[in-house]
Amino acid sequence: MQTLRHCISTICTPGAFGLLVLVLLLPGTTMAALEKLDDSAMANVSGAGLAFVWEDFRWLTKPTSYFEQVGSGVSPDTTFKRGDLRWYGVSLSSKSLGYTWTQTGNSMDACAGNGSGGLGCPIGGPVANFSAHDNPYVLRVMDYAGDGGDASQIGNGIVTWDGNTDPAGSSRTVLEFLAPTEQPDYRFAFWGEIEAGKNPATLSNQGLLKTQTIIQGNASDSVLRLFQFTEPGNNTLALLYHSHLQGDFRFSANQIAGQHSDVLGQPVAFDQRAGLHFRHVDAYIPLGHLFYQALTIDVPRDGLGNPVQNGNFVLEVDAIPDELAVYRRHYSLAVPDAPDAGYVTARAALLTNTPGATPSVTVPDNYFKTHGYSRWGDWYPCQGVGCANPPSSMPAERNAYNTTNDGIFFRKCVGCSNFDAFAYRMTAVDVRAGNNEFTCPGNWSGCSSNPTRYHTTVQNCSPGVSGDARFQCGYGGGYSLPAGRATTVNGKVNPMHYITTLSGDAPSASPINVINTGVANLGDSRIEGMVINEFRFTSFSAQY
Amino acid sequence: MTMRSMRMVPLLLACALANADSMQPLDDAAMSGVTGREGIGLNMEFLINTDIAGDGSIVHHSCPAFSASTPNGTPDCRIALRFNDRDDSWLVLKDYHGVLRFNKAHLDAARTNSSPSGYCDDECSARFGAGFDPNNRLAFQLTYDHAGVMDNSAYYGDFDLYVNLKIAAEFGATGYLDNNTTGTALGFRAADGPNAVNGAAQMRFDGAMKMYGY
Repeated sequence: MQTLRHCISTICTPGAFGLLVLVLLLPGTTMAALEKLDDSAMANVSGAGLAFVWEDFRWLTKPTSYFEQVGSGVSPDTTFKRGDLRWYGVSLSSKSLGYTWTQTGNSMDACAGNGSGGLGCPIGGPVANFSAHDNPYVLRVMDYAGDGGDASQIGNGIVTWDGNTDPAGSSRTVLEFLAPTEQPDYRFAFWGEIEAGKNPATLSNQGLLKTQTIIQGNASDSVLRLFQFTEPGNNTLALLYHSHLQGDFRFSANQIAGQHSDVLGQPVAFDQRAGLHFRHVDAYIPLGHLFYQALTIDVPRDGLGNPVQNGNFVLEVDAIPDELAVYRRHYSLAVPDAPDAGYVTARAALLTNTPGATPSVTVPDNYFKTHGYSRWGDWYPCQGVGCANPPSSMPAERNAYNTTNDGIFFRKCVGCSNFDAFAYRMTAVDVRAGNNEFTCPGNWSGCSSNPTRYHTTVQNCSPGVSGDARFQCGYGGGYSLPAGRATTVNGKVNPMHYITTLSGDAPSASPINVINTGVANLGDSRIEGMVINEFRFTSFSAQY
Repeated sequence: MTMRSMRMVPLLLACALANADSMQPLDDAAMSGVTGREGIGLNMEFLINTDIAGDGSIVHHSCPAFSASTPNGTPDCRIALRFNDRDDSWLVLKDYHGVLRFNKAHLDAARTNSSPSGYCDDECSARFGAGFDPNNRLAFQLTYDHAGVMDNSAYYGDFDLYVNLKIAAEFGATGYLDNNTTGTALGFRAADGPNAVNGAAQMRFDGAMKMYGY
């Protein structure tokens, strides 16, 4: 075995470390010559880019190994404590039933179950076509230019910072890294540790929280581009990142008994069901646009442009310039001026991406490149303005109160007791399918006048004059309600029969207006038409 | 972007060539039979501002403290970045230590699958241009030696990564030399075990990565 030793005395470029990685990840071109290339093999190679294919791919980081954001001192004027964040066992694998963070002997421990939508296990098997050979990750250099001088065209393509859309004059060279346009869903997971109040000298801390994050989905259609920014006097390194994430997400902290630990750095197994879930997430965040807006690096500056020399740095998406062509490109949708013009554009964007809806305004494709969105849940069925058949009566259900197949929900751990969800309140509504009963607070005349509804009877309470009796009606003093609780009308069932821990149509002992359940689904939520005019992240801790 | 390196950085690059132990001369006839199918096996270790002790542990090179007698210090273990049109400030990576290892990496040639995967849509085809066929193309292939490693084995020996650095801005023409910022805007580490007692983070890569040009 021959060993080559090569000593390089000085590293001259910041990319040297990465370059050596690249040498192995991207073996040199001479390697291929070991198999004869004929003309047909060489045909179609244009030199436009490099394609990266990962098949049967799985990336596993040892569960005790981590990436860490090291904390630093905090302002003495606050009660904050130093926090060190660690991401352990970062892994990329398939969605199959798999393994946990713990191990027995030299084998990973099997996962107990696949939870909601397959979000139970952090580690699965290899991903057969993480990036398929005919839809690979692509690294290439491209020239991009504007689509012409038609500045009156709303949503007109590429434009420089000073408003140039000329096909020749606006051309710029870009280095870009493109995710596949289609990818199978895969699993990305890690377990995390927040170490609060760490003392670097003694290595002690004032608290430790272990959590688990599991994401199932993909990042297809995400784009990273590097170019020189086009603002005069600010021709610095510009990064553009269009993040597109689709899939399901779970965040939890409950550990499995017997595989649990509160020891620093000790891997644990997390319950396969517990936690906060987001199903059917589709999120697109555009940070920068060719060529008038980009992520750039700077230091904090005062009003005169002089650096604030406290050691911090700035990562910002620059403000869009005051140029007509940029405005038309960036906003991409114009409706007749009216007090509700903003709502009209937002509603058009929302309905364009709502199955079953018909927007009254056509939204150009470019709108959905310059505007981000984040959708949690499938937003089905279509309800409200623009929908074909908006429901006119109850139940108008999207997600059942305890569904686990869509939307945002909390779920209890295996073997845990149900919990009281949806808060304590005067009025309770039975949200389950087919039910429409609700309790009345008593003093609303609409209750007693509607014979189809359950309503309540007289309820009074007077506080005592001394001692604890002063609070016998609660801390709000006395009350006198014209109607009390626990009376049904026209045979309607008292909803408290379903929604309390007590049973019977007329509970006698202080029922509470909550739903006792193992899953609390909050429904779907979405943000549409998210346009970023300026965004700035400034570090804060360097001066402490 | 301007870049300054403050230290003579030792670099150990160890490439272990499989099939290199016989050292027998090859004549033309023997050479004509070489197809490269067996590829190349590599171990590589890259150290920056660190040494590996006899017991395998990572030893940081000393990064001397700044003092009154050396007001600009003896800058060490740092990389300073200055971006275009940011002439008054530097982004400095301080206390920079690193270890990178590839263990039993295999490089060879392969062909892509001969039939479509079903994942390529119109948008994907447009990236390649008309007439390009990604099927059955020659490609470079990187794999790791996983002989005998079962799917559920707790094996993480393919790739080691140790990084320790903190980031802060320094100012002025010689900001790359300075240590006027005593705090840290952002600190980063990749390691294994509580307080990095076990050295480098360990990783495993299953499957194959192929690369081709178009």
